[in-house]
Amino acid sequence: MIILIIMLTIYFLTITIFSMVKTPYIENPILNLFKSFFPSWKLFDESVNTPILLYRIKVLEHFTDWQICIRAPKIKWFHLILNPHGNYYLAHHSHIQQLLSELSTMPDQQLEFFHQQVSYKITENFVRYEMLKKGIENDFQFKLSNIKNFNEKSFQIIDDILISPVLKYQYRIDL
Amino acid sequence: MNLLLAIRLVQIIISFAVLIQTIEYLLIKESFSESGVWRWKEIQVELHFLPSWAQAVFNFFLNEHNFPILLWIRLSCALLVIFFPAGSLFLFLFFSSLLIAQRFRGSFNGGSDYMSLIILMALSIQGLFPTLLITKGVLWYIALQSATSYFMAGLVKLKLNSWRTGSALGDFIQSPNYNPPIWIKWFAQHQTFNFSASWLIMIFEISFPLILIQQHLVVSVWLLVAFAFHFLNVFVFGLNRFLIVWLASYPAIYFCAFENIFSNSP
Repeated sequence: MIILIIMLTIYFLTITIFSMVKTPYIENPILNLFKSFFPSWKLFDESVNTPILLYRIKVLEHFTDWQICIRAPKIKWFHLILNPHGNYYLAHHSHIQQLLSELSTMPDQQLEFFHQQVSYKITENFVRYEMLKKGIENDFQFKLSNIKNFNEKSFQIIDDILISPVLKYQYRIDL
Repeated sequence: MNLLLAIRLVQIIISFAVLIQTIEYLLIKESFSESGVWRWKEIQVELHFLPSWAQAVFNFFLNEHNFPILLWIRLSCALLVIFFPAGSLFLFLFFSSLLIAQRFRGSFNGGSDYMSLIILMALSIQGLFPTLLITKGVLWYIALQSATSYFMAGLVKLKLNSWRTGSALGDFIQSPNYNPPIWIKWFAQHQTFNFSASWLIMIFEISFPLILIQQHLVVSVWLLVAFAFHFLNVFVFGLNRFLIVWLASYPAIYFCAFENIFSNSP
């Protein structure tokens, strides 16, 4: 028993020491492929205020107000077991964090090409997919913003982190 | 709890977790079609650094047509493995989980995907080499990973001032990123609640590894608290996958807490 206690103490002390080191953002694509094997377990350590994906559509020559692209779904009792749309929402949330991480680590001179990044395209796809589900076929624009005073009907935009040009409803064919 | 019962329970619960995860993927399959969000034609570009044969393998399994088929096979396999826990079936579940992770650029659901992979990898090894030593090692590996996950989560929170003051928890619950029931939001408006709950969470998470050196009722109580913690997380943050996947590690923890690691009996 004593040996076990000593081994566990050494293990968790080592983890504590390594946790002092800030985890670098992995840019190496090969290492990235295996990142599932090295979980950091740093859950809920990110900034509380993850920006929200907003979009607006162009009707004739005017834009509608900005609206939230994907709202966090209400949680029901059966979500204890099966929660596909909740997990889709959480995946969207994680994606936004990944996008921000990429944005913050990208060299300034490459920022003008950020729209060519896969993360950017996926963000655009989130908006397109929501529009598709709602049957909206207008040109649109999206942005990532910090918001406050959020409730079911309204919110206030504090600042913008990223804003897209006006995009055509017709999907790009540069694949 | 003996060794065989512990490993069997881990097998059954993780199979159920994989089954649920796969059903969830199938229910949102439009989102990873070529008119959805995660379009393979866009994502595959990120694999350009791989040799062409590896790219071909990924393309074969993850393209719009074959990926749903892979999910259906995975679903059948998860169902089958509940009754017939063969190592080869766990190996398939492990590799299919890796492919799914790649389909979503690393992971779909973060922590729960990682824990699923860890448990499936361990069970694959145990299934292929079911000796006493390997089975015991696998249970210890799963128990240690689970304890580490709680410990790390608690440690990073403890380092943040916003968690120590309780403001982070309140802000998370009130943020537009989550949509918990009104009664939880009501609690989160009170600083005393946020402060107390934050410290309870941090103390619970950081002290979790101590469970491995307990040998009495404390272990059961600790695991019940852990389950209640995940249960509440479903209602606050919608993290249902965490509930089932972490539950799969509890038989391993229970076994390790009571079992002398250096004994030779099954």
